[in-house]
Amino acid sequence: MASAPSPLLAAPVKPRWSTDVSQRWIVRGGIAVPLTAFALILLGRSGAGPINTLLLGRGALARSLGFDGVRFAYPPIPTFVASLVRGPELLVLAGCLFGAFAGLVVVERLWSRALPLWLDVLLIIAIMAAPATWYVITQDTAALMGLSLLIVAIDGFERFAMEGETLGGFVTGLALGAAVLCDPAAVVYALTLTAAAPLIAISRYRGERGVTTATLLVFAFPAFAALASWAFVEWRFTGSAFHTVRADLDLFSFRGGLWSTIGREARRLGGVVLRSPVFVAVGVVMALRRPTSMVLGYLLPLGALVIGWSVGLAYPDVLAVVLLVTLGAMTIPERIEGMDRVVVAAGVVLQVVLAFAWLPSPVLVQNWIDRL
Amino acid sequence: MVITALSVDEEMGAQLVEAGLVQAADVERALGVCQRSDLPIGAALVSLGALRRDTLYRFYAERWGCPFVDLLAADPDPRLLHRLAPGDALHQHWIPVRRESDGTVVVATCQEPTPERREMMAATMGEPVRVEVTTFVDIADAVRRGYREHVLDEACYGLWRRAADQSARQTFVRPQLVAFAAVVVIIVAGLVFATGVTLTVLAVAGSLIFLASVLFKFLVCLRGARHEHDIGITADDVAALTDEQLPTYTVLVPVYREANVVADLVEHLGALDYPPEKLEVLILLEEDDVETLEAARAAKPPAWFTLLVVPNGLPKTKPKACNVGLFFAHGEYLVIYDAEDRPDPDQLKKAIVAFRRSGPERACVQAALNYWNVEENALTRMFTLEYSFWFDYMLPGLDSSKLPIPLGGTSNHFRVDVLRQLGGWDPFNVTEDADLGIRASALGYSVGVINSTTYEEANRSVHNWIRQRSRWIKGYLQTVLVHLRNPPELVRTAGWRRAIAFALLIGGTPFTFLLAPPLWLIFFMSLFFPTALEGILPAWAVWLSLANLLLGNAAMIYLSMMGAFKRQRYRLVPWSLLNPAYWVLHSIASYKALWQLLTKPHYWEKTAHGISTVTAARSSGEAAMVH
Repeated sequence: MASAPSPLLAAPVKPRWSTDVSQRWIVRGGIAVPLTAFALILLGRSGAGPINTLLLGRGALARSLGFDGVRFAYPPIPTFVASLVRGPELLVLAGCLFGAFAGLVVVERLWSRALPLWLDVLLIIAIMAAPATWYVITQDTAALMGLSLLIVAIDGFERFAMEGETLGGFVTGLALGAAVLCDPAAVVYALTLTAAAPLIAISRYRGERGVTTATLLVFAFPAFAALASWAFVEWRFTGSAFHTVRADLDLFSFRGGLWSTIGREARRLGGVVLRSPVFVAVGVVMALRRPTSMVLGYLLPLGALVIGWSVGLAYPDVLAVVLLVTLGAMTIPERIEGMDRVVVAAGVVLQVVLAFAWLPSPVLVQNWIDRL
Repeated sequence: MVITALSVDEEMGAQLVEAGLVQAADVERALGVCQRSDLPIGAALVSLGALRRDTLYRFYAERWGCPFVDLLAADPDPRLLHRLAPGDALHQHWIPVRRESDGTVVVATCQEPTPERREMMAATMGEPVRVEVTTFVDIADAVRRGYREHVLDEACYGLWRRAADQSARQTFVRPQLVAFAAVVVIIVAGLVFATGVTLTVLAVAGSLIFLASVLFKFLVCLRGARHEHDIGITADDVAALTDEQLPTYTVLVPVYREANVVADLVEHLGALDYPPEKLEVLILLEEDDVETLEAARAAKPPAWFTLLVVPNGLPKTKPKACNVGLFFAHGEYLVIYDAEDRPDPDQLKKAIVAFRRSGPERACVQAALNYWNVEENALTRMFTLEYSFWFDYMLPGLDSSKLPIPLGGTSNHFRVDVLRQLGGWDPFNVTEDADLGIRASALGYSVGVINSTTYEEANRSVHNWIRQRSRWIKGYLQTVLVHLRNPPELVRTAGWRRAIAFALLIGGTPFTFLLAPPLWLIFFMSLFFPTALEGILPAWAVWLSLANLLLGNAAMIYLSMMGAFKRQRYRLVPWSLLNPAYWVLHSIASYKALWQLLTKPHYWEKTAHGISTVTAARSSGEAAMVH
């Protein structure tokens, strides 16, 4: 009798917070409404920042130039939204809808971790009360969309890596595929999670034959396909690919030399990490409780940030801090107790304090705060 | 009652031992079977292989004081048969054989000729009867021979006679012909008088159909993926079933020119975990296929296997053979396997649990299909990728969305009463399984899936693959034509959601493959001769076609990866990238199917089985090549 491998993995799968679709939509709506309302209030005071203004301008160009406008349409998802709306308010609204999806994912993740309520509340404050977060929400819609999709991807990644849920891997891949169409910097996310494929293959699938390549493809294929498809379409209609990226970014210039660039960006990363105590605290707890491969996987975004900055991707520190804090919050181990809980709680409290006391990207964020 | 019945069995057992027909130990074993089923000891002994069936019935004949008749040597008198319906002959277990010189009608039966029974038979015949004894298998065979034309006619035309609108005997109905003719005229006129506009409309319409079909499949698969950890039926559920609780089960195995695999068939179906006394395996052999018939006899199948010869006649199709099998089936439930199938041993029990958990509207459950010769060559790999996403994500997604499920070729488990009510399979439809699933859905029944797998032999030859695939696609086209004869009626009976899902799935599948070559043409022209398209298609139409092609192909490649990953066929995942080349074969098969639909709609392109070079012993997830 032939015995092919069973399609069912042995790992128990955590139930989602609610399997009821309508309840999930109610929560998304419950997140989206206050998020949008507060964002619009802040936007009303500060006005649209340079990044969203540029996006709106490109949206208008894409709309008015027809197929020649494809030249200005990367990243296509936010640019498409920008081409439909007439002002920054609707752009921010669209970003908040993406944010609501990510918000539900964070809520689910915290719920599944069974943390004390006070710690949940502190974590949410650390993320949502931070000026850096609201800066991103109101000033950089493309980054917010990309970051929201990254949160969905991380959730899928954790389900895939820790709970053996195949769907999680595909959610990761699809979210990354959409993210690279929202924000060029999402390529960094895609590279980060793809780089984790061998670690997952070792820790989760015991290095079964072919699993590393398979995992790599699961994570990377949608992002690669999305970028390649866009490049083809843009090339087909304009004769060149990624015009906006080349116009906005100074890629692969390595001013001062390769090693000097990497050293500079590594020091920059130090500042970002110090502003992200939640990420540090969770890293310490993971180092004590999880296999080395998982810890390495957790630290991979740091390497990706350095590489991304070094090659010239414009990923502001403020966004890097939001990324690391969210990543830390989503990766807190389940039912932590004793010293682990103290470490994480200390990290969260410190995060709340630093969120106001030591701003990341101080020029950008302080200027924005001054305009409020 | 149980004690009495057992006493009767014990007494009969003792008599059989006394007659020197069986050993006392066999009787002990048989009594065990009787205790956990309602089977009499004679049948239990036969199912255990301790007693030959004809020996048992000769013993009964002596006990009942009647002569034994060998019906294989004596054809029933056709002049007597019209007084008894063939179905009644099968279910009442008797058949008129001949008229004696004194005018008495001799009937053969396999049940004790009590006075009431003699009276019933005499009343049916309208004259006195004399009883002789035979086996129930011989009665079934005599029915097949005696009512040959009736059985053949019912198998071929039963559905058409009862519901012509559900049969593919007529490929196109008049309104469809008129509609197609109108479309062709409009397109030709458009191409002559407004070439650019017409081409644009065609390209856009094609793109939108392509996009809708691909997106539908993608979303349904994602839904199916959400349920990947819902283990429908566990090993504990199966273990909780006792033999007494199990109903009778008929297994139909249509075979044609498959002498090379028939011995394997006996081995694989013999491994099914189901009490043999409640299992009836009907090997359906074609009348003109002497070689397979001889091979089947040489394989010496166990007593619960019956070799059933299907009367020769057109259409010579698998569904016709299955209809004949359904006519003779005694089981409460029924499943179809192909000759080379290797079902999970507990599959029948899982199906029983699934039926018992669902309501009476559940007509059928489908097991997953996959392949045991996965890594034999590139084609078997691509085929496995396709099956993995289809059966592991697509069908569960359709199931959880309560959408119509097109049944796969084998491993469909039915409630026999519902199957008969549905009219069996359409012998004129070359994907009778998909058609039946849709028909069941349209008539308010449901089809589900079970977490059990049947391993089949993947096609390793391109030529053979195209033959098989062109038949499947032709069958899908037939199914679309049948169920869209009266679209408002389909919407009324199945509802909007199901009707649209049917159109996107059964109609969309062939259409995407038919539309792929024109879209690829636009892609390559766009790539190599961009200016050539400028005068033909507007930029936005080219853009739409390209976006569709890229998005559609990427989405389907990713689905393919998902299926392989879930099946833990990790080494197959990179092969998903070659799917566009595999879909070229689909397109070739689709155009062949379209041509055959017009020229030979009912022709059954037979797929050759048993051509794999992978040995059964080494075929598994790590299938090794043996050259």
